[in-house]
Amino acid sequence: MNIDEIRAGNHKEFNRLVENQIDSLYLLVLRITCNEEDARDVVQDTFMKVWVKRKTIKNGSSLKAYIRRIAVNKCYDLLRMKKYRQRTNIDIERVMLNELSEGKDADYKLNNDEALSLLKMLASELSPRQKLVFTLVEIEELSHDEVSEITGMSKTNIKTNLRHARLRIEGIIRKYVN
Amino acid sequence: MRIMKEYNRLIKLIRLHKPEIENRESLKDSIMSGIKSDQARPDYLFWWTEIRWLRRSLAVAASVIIGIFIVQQMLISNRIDRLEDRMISINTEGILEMQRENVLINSVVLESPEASRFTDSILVSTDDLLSLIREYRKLQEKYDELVVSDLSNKQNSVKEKL
Repeated sequence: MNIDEIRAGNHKEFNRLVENQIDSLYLLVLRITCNEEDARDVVQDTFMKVWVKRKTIKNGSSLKAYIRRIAVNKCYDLLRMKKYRQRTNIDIERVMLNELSEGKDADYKLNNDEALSLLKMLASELSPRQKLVFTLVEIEELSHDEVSEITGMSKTNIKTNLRHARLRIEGIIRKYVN
Repeated sequence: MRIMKEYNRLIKLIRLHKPEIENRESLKDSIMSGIKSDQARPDYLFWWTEIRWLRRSLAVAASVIIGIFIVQQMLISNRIDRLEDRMISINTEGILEMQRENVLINSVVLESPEASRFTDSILVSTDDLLSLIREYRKLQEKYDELVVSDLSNKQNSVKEKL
């Protein structure tokens, strides 16, 4: 991908960028927002912003990290909105979690709704920052350096948020397992 | 241990789940059409934000204006503080003076045994009373001075005799 071409406003090159990045970006955003509609909106807004700010992209910088940073910031803003606090139907999730715990099938794969509900439930007690760090480190399996580059948080901050997130999620799991 | 195992299992399940975008092409098309329409629409209002030197100089000007504003506010509050001090001292002096005079009126005129008989029918104006009090105070001061000088004269004469 040629950054100079994108910076110069080449549509074809930008189309290639969208083609290459859209799937991974959608997956990342979906895992953070747990909502398909919001994920689509954030992906669209992110690419629009990349296009608008294309002239400020620095040479040698990672375009993928740049795009992710914009997307993660948009997700963070979304998570911070009070009305975005999602509450799910605990009974349904309880049944689902029990089924998952009892079903000892290692190759079991979740369907879309199950995965989103499970993620939503696990992250229900997390602050927006903790949720971001948890998703990026635990689900996306990014290194602390990468997370730091994307979120702008220090490594210590990332570790602290991750530790708190794990503790809270373990608390939720303990509630259901017991 | 069991919790950790369950935690790892759930995380693994979520990791394995990689949904595809529904209507991927429509999302892509909407992005690309958004970009084209954005480019087609010239920005008449904020076109100047693209000029770096203009942006920077405006930022510098804004910082300078904010700095001047802060200094000005500090100066004003400083002056108000000083003014407040002055006002307090003037007022306090005035109030004290008035109180002193009132006390004197009460003690000298109204509370004297002769005046108490006419308390309900005094026809002297306040100004007259005040001037009377002031004269009385001057006399009092002179008397005090005389007493003091008399005392010192006596002390001197005693010293001389000794």
